[in-house]
Amino acid sequence: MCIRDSINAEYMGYIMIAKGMQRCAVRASRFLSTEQSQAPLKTPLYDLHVKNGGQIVTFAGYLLSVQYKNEGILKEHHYTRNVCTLFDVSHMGNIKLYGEQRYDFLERMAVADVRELKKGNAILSVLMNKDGGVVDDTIITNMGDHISMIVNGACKHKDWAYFQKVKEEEFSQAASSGALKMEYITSNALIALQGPRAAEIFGNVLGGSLDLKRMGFLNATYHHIKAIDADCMISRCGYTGEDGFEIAVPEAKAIALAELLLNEKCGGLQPVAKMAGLGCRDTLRLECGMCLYGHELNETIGPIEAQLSWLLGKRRKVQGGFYGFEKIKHQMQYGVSMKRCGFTTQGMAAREQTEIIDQNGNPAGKVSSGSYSPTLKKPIGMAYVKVPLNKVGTKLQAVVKGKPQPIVIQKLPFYEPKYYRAPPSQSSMIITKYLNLSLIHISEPTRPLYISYAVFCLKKKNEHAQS
Amino acid sequence: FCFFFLMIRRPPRSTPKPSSAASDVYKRQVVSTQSTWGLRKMLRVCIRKFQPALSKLCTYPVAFATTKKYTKSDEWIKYDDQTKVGVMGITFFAQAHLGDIVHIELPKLNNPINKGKSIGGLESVKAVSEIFAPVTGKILKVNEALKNDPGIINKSAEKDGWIAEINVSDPKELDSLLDFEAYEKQCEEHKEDHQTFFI
Repeated sequence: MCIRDSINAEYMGYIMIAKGMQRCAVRASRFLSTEQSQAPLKTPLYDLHVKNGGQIVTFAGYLLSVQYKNEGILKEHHYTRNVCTLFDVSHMGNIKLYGEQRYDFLERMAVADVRELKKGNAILSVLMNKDGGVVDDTIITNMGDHISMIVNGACKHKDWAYFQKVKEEEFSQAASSGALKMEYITSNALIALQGPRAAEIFGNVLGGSLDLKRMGFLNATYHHIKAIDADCMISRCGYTGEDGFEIAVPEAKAIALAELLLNEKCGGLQPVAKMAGLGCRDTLRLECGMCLYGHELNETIGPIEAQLSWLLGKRRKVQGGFYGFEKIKHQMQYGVSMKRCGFTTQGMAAREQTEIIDQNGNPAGKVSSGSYSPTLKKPIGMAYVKVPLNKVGTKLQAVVKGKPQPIVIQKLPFYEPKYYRAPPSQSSMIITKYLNLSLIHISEPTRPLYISYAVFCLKKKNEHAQS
Repeated sequence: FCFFFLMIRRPPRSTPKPSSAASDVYKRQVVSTQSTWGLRKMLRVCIRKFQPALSKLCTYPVAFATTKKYTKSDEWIKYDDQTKVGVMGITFFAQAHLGDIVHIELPKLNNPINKGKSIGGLESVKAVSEIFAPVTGKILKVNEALKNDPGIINKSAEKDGWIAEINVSDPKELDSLLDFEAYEKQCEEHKEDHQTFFI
């Protein structure tokens, strides 16, 4: 499941504006979570962070590591892009929905075609509020008899409260009759293994019990991992733009699984995977143009402004049924005034909240996220800019440290994600190769017996189109 | 007056020529690092001890006439009282807190600077920081290598990661700066302020 890290400037929290020996953390006020009175909690992998020399900070109410001794954000970033790293994302929220009304319930808030989501498949979506803004972004997975959702660590309590409210207002009968049930999972750790060698490492640890080659991006399954004797939920997804897996493992077995993954040598002399912290997660997702809740998304920004209209399901665009649909429909028809875009600059990075002005000094927008890109080796960022100044190639200025600095609007993503696509099945390959037909759809079998029938929907290939 | 003499141990006379009997000696020579280290150390101790006398005898500047001081804002300055030039940079402690440095705004050349004022800036992936002048003076030289690779500061903050050379106008200002023990003590005290800790 993708991590959607915290928001409300908690994550940006640790930008330290150093002033003399004070080096006071600007984050001092921002960094403290909403549950300020409580001491930060430890994730099941806390001891592993300590053992590996992690620089521990408080984030979303948990003690997590920003980076590790002898590594650092840049090294961890490059290692994720080139080899494989392991992240602890156990602070994220996991909510499960049961009962036949779970689709209707979720579709009141999510903009995706939830009903059409096949078993074992996941989809990125946003949960909407009544004003057409985003409450949280989430990965929704259909696990057959229930739906599993992963939400942001800092939003999870807010999301749970929102779910309860919607349930009481509109689904109270379904809840009392058992047609809708929801569960807030607290007993699992979530490990993200990301990088080009993630499949090799994980495959070795699984000992061949799961065919990872047939598991493509956004596929998910429950699986019993023999090496730790635990039932886990495995999803092929992440928030880094690299191939990888997110594994929900019972908290008692979390360190054991993490150590197996970190010690796996893949036939070589040294372990391959390394631990990586929160610091490089921000640079990794920013390079891929991915939104971070609290920066690119919040309760006042909708998916159209965020350039996420592709999240709206085909059926949902017409039928609606989610909160704020009227406003979204209006925006789809008449447009919006501000839009999310990417930019590059020179010199210092233009950080979050930096004002953007046009060549004449008039206000043009604001930066939502900004940092240095280790892969591109220059400062990059995302911003909300007045239409039509968001067009690629437009030259604007960002006011950094009181001085305007040139920026250029760029096409997103800065770095093309490398998601894994499972090869097509043998039967569809035969059809595609020899009969010049494309396989569009295979129906469910007509009956669960030895002799059964299925409908194969085929389409003649267009001669001009690519195969 | 005092005098000292140095006994320099010379290697045995030998030649690599195969015909000569002395070539055996050449082949038998073992480079003893232990003894050369002892020699260098002895030399250093001697020179340091007799430095005032030496400086009267010798006209060339002795390399060890420098003082290194630290500021409360995590800069270091190594002052050479022969040349009246101070080399400055940020401390190991500062770079460790900043993390990987990605950009530097070097001080402007030939600019007059005042103690305690901002003369440049540093940026890491996750933080920004000012560079403050440790003393009053003028910038003579800046470390151009940092423009292409600011990461040098992370690798060697107090040596290769030097930021600027300053022509110090009033060496007495150095007296008010911290020495190493005082600076280390300050670092210990301020560790908790950051709500982060290194393990």
